[in-house]
Amino acid sequence: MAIIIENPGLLTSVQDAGRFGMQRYGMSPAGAMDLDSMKLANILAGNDPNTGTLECTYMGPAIRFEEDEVIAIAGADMAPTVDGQPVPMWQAFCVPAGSTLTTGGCRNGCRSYIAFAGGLDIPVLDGSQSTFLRSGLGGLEGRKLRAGDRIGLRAPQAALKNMVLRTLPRPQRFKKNVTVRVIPGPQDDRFTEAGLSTLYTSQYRISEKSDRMGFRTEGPEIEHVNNDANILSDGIPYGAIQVPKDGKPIIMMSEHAGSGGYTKVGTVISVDMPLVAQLAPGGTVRFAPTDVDTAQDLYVEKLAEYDRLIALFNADYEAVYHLNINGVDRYVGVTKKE
Amino acid sequence: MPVIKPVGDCALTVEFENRISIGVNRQVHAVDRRIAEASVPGIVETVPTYRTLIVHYRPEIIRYREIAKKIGDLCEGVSDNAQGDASDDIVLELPVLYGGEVDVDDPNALYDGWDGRETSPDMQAIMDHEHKSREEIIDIHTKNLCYVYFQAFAIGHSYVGNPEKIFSIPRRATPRTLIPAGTLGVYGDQTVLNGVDLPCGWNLIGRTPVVLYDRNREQQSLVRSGEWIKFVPITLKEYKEIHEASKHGEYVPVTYKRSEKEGAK
Repeated sequence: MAIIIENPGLLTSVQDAGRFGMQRYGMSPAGAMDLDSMKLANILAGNDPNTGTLECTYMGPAIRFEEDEVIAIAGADMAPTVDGQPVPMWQAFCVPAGSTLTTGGCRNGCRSYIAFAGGLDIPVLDGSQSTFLRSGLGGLEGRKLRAGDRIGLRAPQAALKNMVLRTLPRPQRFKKNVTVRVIPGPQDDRFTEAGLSTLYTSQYRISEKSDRMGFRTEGPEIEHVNNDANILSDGIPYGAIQVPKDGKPIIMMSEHAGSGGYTKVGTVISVDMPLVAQLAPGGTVRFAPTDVDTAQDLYVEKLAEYDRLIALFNADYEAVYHLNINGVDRYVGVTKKE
Repeated sequence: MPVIKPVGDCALTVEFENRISIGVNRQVHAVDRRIAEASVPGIVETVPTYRTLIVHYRPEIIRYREIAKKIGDLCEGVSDNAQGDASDDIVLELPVLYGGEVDVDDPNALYDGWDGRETSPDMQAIMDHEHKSREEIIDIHTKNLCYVYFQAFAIGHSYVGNPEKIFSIPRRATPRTLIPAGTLGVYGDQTVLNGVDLPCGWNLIGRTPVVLYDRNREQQSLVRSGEWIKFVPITLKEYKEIHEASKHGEYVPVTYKRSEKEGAK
């Protein structure tokens, strides 16, 4: 039993939380650009948060289902429909066998994640199902999806526990102009004071020359000490901000190389990277300095929130009440106080 | 002592002396080995480069201050002795064809300006610039044991250092946008190995018939950072034999400890 890709959309590929352990051999981690939406889609669909999903970019796919299967779509709003009827974002629902899920252009943000209950039958390569597109490795034959692709479902399910509760109130939350926090370094000492001031007071526009490897930006030039932007190549994490000689920041995204030779002025903190990942060319970003303790507190709290959601969706409830508030259906699960 | 700094909220860097040197890089690899042996909980992976080691970790398991302290402790004394005894280090012999035409693996690849067949397209340029004969150039390139600094740039790619600055030819004014897998480029005291088709701005001196990176092999990357390489010149006939064997997983690489062969210094 499988799903059939009737229309692949613009750039749809299998992505999970990324491939780690092989960067020393030149393997990019790849993985979802917006890890938060990817994980939330999985949590709604009853999966481990790091299960492989379909990452859809700008324009989503059309997918026919051969089997009843619960899915959840999170991220940019792609106005999904099943056989022409609108279906919700940020909510688990069952697509009946024989039906077609159709998604359109993203109405806010630019990446959306479709999670399939039980997961996709995609080989696990070095611990991950992610597609490393540039090197043609992982995912489905190392490439973006094509019309006619058939992907197996590992354990299709027509319903999950607490089905009506599996929804998240996530409004249209991705903005075109964002401010993200940055931990300075490790080469912030290679910039002049004026250069650092430029970084933290200017607005940078995401360039058309941006992809899953990195987002180039356009904006005021960040001044280097002695006009020297080169370093002996060193390691790069997701979110690092490289500034080459032209003074324009490049934010390293999921498919970043393991090493690079340009000065890194700072790294965008993990909890803010989803805001960057959802920026299309033309969107803008501002940078604000923070510190590692603050960033790690926020990140650990984010992971705890995932655990709370998983517990809520899997709890045993005494009763589930249906409320209709201003015409909107809501469900509330009630447990005995322990 | 090396300097430890955060790189975002999920990684830190251990920085040694800011220069390209085998001695400095051996310190990076010494700390890398100590971290692997200590199996610190929360570490995702480490990536050695010329003079730094980046450590990717999970802050939900270990916070920056704690892991920085642990790694700082593991760096204790490394600067003092890593220059020293390398007799137990592994040496890999890498056969190289320094000129002559061979078939390329991907006949559809578009190597800009040439067909990719010539294994040493820049030999004449190197000879002219260095004022040496072909034989002298090959002798210079194969004489010393070389050392693998790091491989994180791309799959199958290695930066390899020579203990001496052997060539003075600058990088090409215009980098080639694609060169065939197995090609060796040279610049100053370094040689770059390309395991897959990649762009390259260095002068191309030869090609190894050995498949440097093979997903389906137990040891995917034949070359490993922190180990040594001895380049061995071969004939066109040997190239073809080794390449056929290596493509079919039948090539057995020659490796030994530095102390096991004379010429190891």
